[in-house]
Order: sequence, then structure tokens, then C-alpha cells
Amino acid sequence: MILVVDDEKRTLDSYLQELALSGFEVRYESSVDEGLKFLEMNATEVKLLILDVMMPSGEAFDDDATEKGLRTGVYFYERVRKTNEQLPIMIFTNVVDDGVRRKFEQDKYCRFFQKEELLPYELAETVRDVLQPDK
Amino acid sequence: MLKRFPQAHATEILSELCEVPFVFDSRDQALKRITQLGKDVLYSHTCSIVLFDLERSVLTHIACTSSNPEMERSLKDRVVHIGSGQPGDWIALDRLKADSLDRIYNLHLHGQGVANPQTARAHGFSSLLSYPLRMDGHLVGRFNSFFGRRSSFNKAEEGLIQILARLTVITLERFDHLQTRDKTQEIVSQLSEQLLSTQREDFLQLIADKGSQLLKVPVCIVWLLDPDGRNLRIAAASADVDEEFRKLEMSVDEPGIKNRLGPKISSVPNIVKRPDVVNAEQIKSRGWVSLLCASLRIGDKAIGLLDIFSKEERQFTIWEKESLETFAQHAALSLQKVKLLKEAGEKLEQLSELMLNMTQAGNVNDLLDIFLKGGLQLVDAKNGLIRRLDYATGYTRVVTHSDDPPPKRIELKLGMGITGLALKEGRPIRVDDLSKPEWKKIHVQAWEEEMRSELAIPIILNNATIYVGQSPRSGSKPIGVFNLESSQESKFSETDEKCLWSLSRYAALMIERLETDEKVSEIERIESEIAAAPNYDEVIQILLRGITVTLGYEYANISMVVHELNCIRSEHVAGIAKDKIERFKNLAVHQLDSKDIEADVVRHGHVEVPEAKDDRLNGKVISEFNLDLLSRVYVPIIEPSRNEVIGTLEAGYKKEFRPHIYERDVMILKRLVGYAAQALQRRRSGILDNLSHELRTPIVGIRSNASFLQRRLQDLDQHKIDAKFNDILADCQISLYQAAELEYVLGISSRTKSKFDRTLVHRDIIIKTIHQLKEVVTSRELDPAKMEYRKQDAGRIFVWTDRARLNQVVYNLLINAIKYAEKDPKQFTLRVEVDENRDSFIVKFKDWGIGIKKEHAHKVFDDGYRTPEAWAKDVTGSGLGLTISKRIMDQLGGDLKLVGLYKPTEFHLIIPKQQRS
Repeated sequence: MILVVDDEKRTLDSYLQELALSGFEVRYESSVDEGLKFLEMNATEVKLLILDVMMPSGEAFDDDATEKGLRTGVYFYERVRKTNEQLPIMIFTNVVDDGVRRKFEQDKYCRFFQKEELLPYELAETVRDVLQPDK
Repeated sequence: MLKRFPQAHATEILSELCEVPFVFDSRDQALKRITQLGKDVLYSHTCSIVLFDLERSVLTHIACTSSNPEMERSLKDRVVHIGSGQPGDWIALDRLKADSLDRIYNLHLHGQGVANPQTARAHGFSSLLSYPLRMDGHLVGRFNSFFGRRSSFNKAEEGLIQILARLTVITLERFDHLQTRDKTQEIVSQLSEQLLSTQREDFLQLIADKGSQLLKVPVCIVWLLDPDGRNLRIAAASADVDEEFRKLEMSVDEPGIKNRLGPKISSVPNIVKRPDVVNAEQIKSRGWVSLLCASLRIGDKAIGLLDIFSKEERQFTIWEKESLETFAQHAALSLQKVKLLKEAGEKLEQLSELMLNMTQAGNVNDLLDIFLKGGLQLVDAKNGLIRRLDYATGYTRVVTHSDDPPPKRIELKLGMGITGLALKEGRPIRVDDLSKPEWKKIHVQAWEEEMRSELAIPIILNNATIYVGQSPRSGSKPIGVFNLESSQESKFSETDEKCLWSLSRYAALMIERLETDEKVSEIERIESEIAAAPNYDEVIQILLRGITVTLGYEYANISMVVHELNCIRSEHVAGIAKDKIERFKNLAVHQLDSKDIEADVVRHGHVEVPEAKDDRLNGKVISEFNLDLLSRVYVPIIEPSRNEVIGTLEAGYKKEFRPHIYERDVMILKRLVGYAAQALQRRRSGILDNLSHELRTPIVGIRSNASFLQRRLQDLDQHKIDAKFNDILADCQISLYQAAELEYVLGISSRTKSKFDRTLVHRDIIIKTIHQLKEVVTSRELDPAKMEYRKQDAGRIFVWTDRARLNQVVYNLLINAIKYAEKDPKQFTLRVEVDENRDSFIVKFKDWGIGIKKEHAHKVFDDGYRTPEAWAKDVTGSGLGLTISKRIMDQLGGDLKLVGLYKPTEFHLIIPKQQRS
């Protein structure tokens, strides 16, 4: 199962539909609180996390620490890594900050993409590469 | 003898004799000539002159002419002890003892003689005619004429020898005078040499020592009058004067003292005979006999006495008296100089201390207090005040003053009163007598007590760096005046004036330094205000306040470059009447390729202070707004990231009272403007970051939807296809709105001219926008049907307006209601209602979302402001939507108001029925 956490469902809709039509089981959560909760309860089922960076910090994170939500995804990622070091994570965002990109690129189980880099079908192909590298 | 002497020859000899004292350069030659002529006229064997030194009891033959060359040689410079009884010394015989030397001798040496008979015989003479030499009544020597064989001398011969003796005395006196004069000059010159390098006490001692040396006396005493002029005390004395005597005083009322203090020199040959002389007993007891006294005088005023005492009775010669008088005069003048130098030295010391204190002053008020108190103390004055020039009004105002008694705090216009005149003319004015008509008419009475003299010292910063054109030069800056007054006439001296003038120039420097420091710290405060400013307008307002209130400019004009229109135009103005600002802005537009000074500053990025007749200036603006009365400076506004001139600041103040623009002020101005430009740039880049993200989001949406449709069209049903197209259209619309925000941030939206169309507001704007936002609403799992409007309103609002821009406002209001809906979709409701009054339609937007807290309500229209709740709900967003909406409504002649904060949150859109043309 792929867990997608992003607050902007409308812009993500085509990507979600493409993933579904490509045969992936997709779970979408629009808030970090719901996303964390789902992941906690379905830790073994979730094989890939697709995560946005700029999201409301919700109740899980401190508003100031996330720079008023501009870096919420970074904190979400760190929280996940505390319990699961090898869960594949795709950062899928409009953030263009190089510092943020470098942080994620240091993790071999994490890939960083700007939304404009991937069209829906390209996302599906990338996900396939991540989940089924041999195929 | 005269019988043997031809009358004509005698007359000739006598005539030459009379000239002898004055024609020789050497005393010895003159005396020798007298003895030659004496021998001729008396027909004698030998003529000689002897001088007595009674202190040493010796006599010296100082000149001799003899028929016997051997005698002449033997007598020359011969020194004999008087009364020693040595053989061959006629004068040493008992009958001619020292105490009886003062007689005429008419002797025959072969008898019981006055000379050794053997010597007389050996030299071939037997008779002597001798006459005493007296100077000032004192016996100083004898003129002797020796003869071969004479039994008697007649009256004529006795008369002749008297004449020879007197001419000898005249000769001695002349050379004595010349010698005394030379000595006096030498000593006086020694005094002068010591004058500059000697302390007053040492100088007084020098006078005593030199006085004693001058007249070869053991005692010289310098008496000085007390400040009250009643008593004389010993200020210095030669070494022979003991400590007890030095303690003596003389009152001016004691007998003879007033006379001694007079201009004439006085002498007492023998104190013993004059018991009335003050302190006679003490003088006698010390063995001092003769007194010569000269007064020490400055002009007509005696300041003391110079007494000299000899230890034997002495008749001081007229030359010696003159010499002492000259010496005393010089000593008095020198003393005065030493006093002045000492005072000057003390003042210099005080000045240095004051300057040091000024350096340590923490602020201008403290500095001025130190200046006032120290200045008054320096010149021993009581009444003083310091005024500062108010550059805006030209009035000088009292900023600090002496307290006892306080002055009246009268304001004086620059040039008014002696104070104002000193500042206007930039020079100190010292008035010795205020009652003189020329001063009386301009003097302004600051104290209750009537004042007689005044000293006004301007406080002016000289050699300040000013700007003229584009280059720095040197100029002055008037700051204020230090005013001192006194009820005493001629209270202030030239030295006082010079001292305070120096101090004032130093104070001016310190004031400038402190005020610059104060301005810099004020600027730092303003910079922190700018950093915290929520929006562009506030930054500009803080900047204008800083320029006018803090830096003291009376006029400021911020012009910005508009590249699209190839011009630089006035955007923000201070110091122009509110009702004339629009007119000013209309006139203050300059093409970038023109010769106007603003265009020049933009092209070259330099600071410039235009001179009066500069043809690059906009004559119409200058004359209509009286800018020619101002000193003005143009400073480029440079955007730091691109180092590009994006505008100019023109600032100015009245030149009447402050004629220049000063470099230090320009530096501060540049710093402030630079900081504001940087802050605006930072702000804009922050907003731009956000906006670029906002703009990218719908475009990415459009692109992904288009790609998805292209690849999966056959997998989708019509409903989903329609939804995708609606999504694309919504994203396109959102992109357009974001582009409008971007234009606003870049400062290019205001140039867009409004395009007015006849608009049915509901049909053309509200319903259309609600429809466009349906997909957005749906994607948020909200019910589009909850976006309500009343059908009866649909046809009501028909206006001429800029449809596109009004659409933007409506979009902003609707999207906010959607973005900030409650989490529970069921609570979502958005209602649009219409009301109207005589002039306007009022479109009411009500939503039941998360609302706006009261404490944030006043900021919702601020540039870039987002409430914490908005952040929590949606991290993206520029915070410009409401700002832009409000501005659009202003431009359309309407308004946008926040009326309700929560349940419902209510905005009123005011649309004028009569759209302005």
C-alpha cells in the first residue's frame, strides 16, 4: 500500500488516479495528524510513503519548529525514521529549497521530486521502480 | 701765570676743553686730553686726575700728563691705599687724611708736604694746586696740577683748576651715564629674556636680583600692593634681606608712602637722619643707609615699589636714578606681562580641563551645561545662557542658563539682539558699555538686573564637509550662541573673548559628534521599526517619519522608477500640503532619458545637491512649491540585490537658517534609505518565494490533469472527464489571480489602466466565480451548494466598473471563505447578499468558517499579513489577497470592509452606483 500525505488533494488528484489505474493500492491523507495515525496503525502494510513538505503542522508538530508549516514534511519524515529506517519515502513537493533537497538525498531509502518534475504516469513509473525494482 | 699765557691761546684751549667731555668715545682718552690741556693752560709740570674708591679706601690715578715722561708712566693707573702712610703718596700724609680730602689745596710740597719730598724732588716739582671732584655732592676724586718752583697761586689759576675739575666731572658723569644706560639696557634685556620662561614668583626674584646688580647695592626689595590697594607687602628681595624684614608691611597711609608710589623717584641719602621713613628702625638695625625708591607703575597706576639700599651713605647720581626708574618701569610692565601670561597659562589649563570634560559628556545637554558653567568660570562671570538655533523657524531658544538669577527665556530671531547678530555674522561680539546708543538699541534685556557689558560667542561648526553639486566641500554650520552678561562695565577682556571663542568651536565639534551619534542610534531604532513593518506602505511611512522627524528635514519626496513607462515619478511626499500632493505628483514625473536631475541620479547613482540655477531642475515644481527656499539633496535608492537604482529620495530644509547640506547628514540619510530599500527587497523576495510557489501549484495541476487526460481519456467516464476540465479551468483562473498578485508585488499593477464595462455584478462576477470554484470546493470535500446567493439579487446590481478587477476581489473573498472553512464540512456555508444605499451597492459576503480573532482584525488588510489561524489552515498564500482587494476597491471608488469576525465572518463590498470617470 502507498500512503500519500498532502494537504492539496485537488492538485494531487490526477496523480492519485493514475497510481490507482496503474494497479497500486493508494491511501490518501490530507493532514499530518491523520497520516501519522494511519502509518502507526498500518506500519507493515504501508510499503511506500509519498509526502509533501509544505503542510499545516497540525497537532503533531510545533508550529514554530516547522516554520509555520513550511517544513512540516521534514518533521514528518524524521518522526517516521525514528521507528522505520528503511521505509521507502518519496518527497513530492513544490518546495525548491536546495537545503531541503540535500537533506533527503542523504537517505538512500528516500527520493526527492518536485511536482513539476513528474507527470502522473511518470510518478507511477517511479513508484513502480521503487516498489518493484526488479521488474 | 696767565700773564705769560696769550689770551687768544687760552680762549682756544678753554673752548676745546668744553668740547672734550662730548667728543671722545673713551673716558680715558677724554680725561687724558683734559690733563694735557690743563697742563698747557696752567703752564704746570704735571696734571693728573685721581678717583677715590671710598668703600675700598683706595685712590687710582686715572689720567696724567707730565713734563716728565717717567712720572707720567709711573702714575698711570696707580692704585694707592688712602691713609696707609706709604712713602711717595702725598695724599697719604697725615694732614690729608681721607676725611679731609674734600678741600682745595694750594700747597708747597717742599714744606711739611702732602707728597713724599724725595719723590717730588726727584720728579722736579715743588708746588701743588688741587681741586676736589664732586658728583651729586659726593667727593669722587681730585684734579691735581704740579708746578716746578712756585711760591703762590693767583685767583685766576684757582679758577682755571676749578673749571678743569668740573669738566672732568662732566666727562666722568657722561661716561658714567653711558655705562649705566648700557648696563640698564643689558639688565632690562635680561629681564625680557626671562619673561616667557619664568614663573611669576621667580620673575619677581629676578627683579630684586637685577635691581641690586644694576646699582651695585646689596639690598633690593620689590613691594607689591594688595589687590585692594591698601597695603604693600614684600613680594621678593635680594638675599641680604632676612625673613623677619620680609614679613613687614607698609600701609599706603603711612607717611611718605603715597609720595613714593608717585611717578617721581625718591631718595633718602641717610636713613639715620630720617627717622620718619617707614620702618626706619628696622632698616637702621640692618646697617642699610641710603635708600633709592622707584614706583612700579602700569600707566598711571602704581602696583608696587622698588627699594634699593646701600650699606654706606651714598648720593645716587642722576643717571643712577634714571636707570632705576627705567628699570622699574620695565619691571612693572614685565610683571604685568607675566601676570597676563600666568593668567593665560591658567586659562589654558582650565580650557584643557573643560575640553576634556566636554569630551566625556554623554549627550548634548550635558555638554552644553559643561560649556556654560565652565565658560562662566573661565571668565569669572555670573550671568550666562546658551541658545540653540531652531533651523525650522530661525529662532534661537535658551537651552541652558545660569540659575542665580535665571534669565528671561526670550526667543530671538536669528540676527536679533547682540546674540542673534553674533550668530548671524559668525563672529564674537564684545560690548564694554551697553548703555552706548548703538548697543542700547539692539540689546535685548535677558536679566532683571541692568547689564553693562556683554559677550556673545557664536557656536559654529567650521570646516564641516558639505555637498555642492556632486562634490564635497568645506562650509560652516550655525548651531547656537553662548551669551554672557555682566552688570560691570568692560567686564570681558579680549583674552576672555579668545578663550571662549576657542572653546565654542570645540563645543561645536563635540555637539556635531554627539548629535551624529544620537542620529545614528535613532536610525538604528528606525531600522528595527522598518524590519518589523508589516507592509510596504508602513516601511515607506516609517522612512518618511525618520527623514522628517528624526533627521529634521522639512521636505521629502520619494520617487520610484517605472521602467514600463520609462519614467521616474513621485510616489510618496512629506512636507507638501495634503491637498496639493496630487498636483505635486502629477508635475513630478521625469522621463528616464531626459536631462532632469532625477533621471541623472538614476543613471549615475550619485548623491547630488543642486545649485540654485541648475537647468536640470523642474522649474514649475520648484516655483509652485517654493522648493527654491530649501537646501535639497538627491539620494539614489539602490536595490541591494541588483545594485540598481530603483528610485530617488529628495530631502530638504529651509536654507535661510541652514544654508548647506552636510556630508554627515547625507551619510545617515543614505544609510536609512539603503536599509529601507534592503528591507523592502527582503520582504518582496519573501513574498515572491511564496507567490512563486502559489503560482506553480495551479500550473502543475493544469499540466498533470492535461497529461492524465491525454493518457487515460479512454479509462474515464464523462463525469470524471468534465471534472478534470473544470479543474483545469479553475487552475487557469487561479493562475491569473496569482499573476495579478505577482504584478502587485513587482509594483507593476498600478500602471494598468482600468477598463470599464457595463457589468451585471451577480451574473458576470459572483455566479461565474462561484461556478469556477466548484471544483476547489469539491476537492476539499465541501458542498458547492452551500455557496448561496439570493435569486432576487441577481439582477439588481448593474454598474459601470472594471469587471476583471472586481472579479479578482470577489475571487479573493470566496477563496478565503473556502480555504478557511471549518474542518467539519457540514458547517461550511458561504452566503452572498446585496443591500444598497443612496450611493452604493453593498455586497455582503458571509461565511461560517474559522473566523478572525478580534486582535487580528485591524491587520487583515495589511500587506502580507496572515493570521495564525490562516497559517494553521493553509501554509501557502502570500497574504496579499485582502490588501490587493482593498486597494482595487479604493481605485474603483468603493471600499472593502470587515464587518463581522466570526459566525459569520462578514466582508462588505461597497460598489459605487455612479462609477467615477
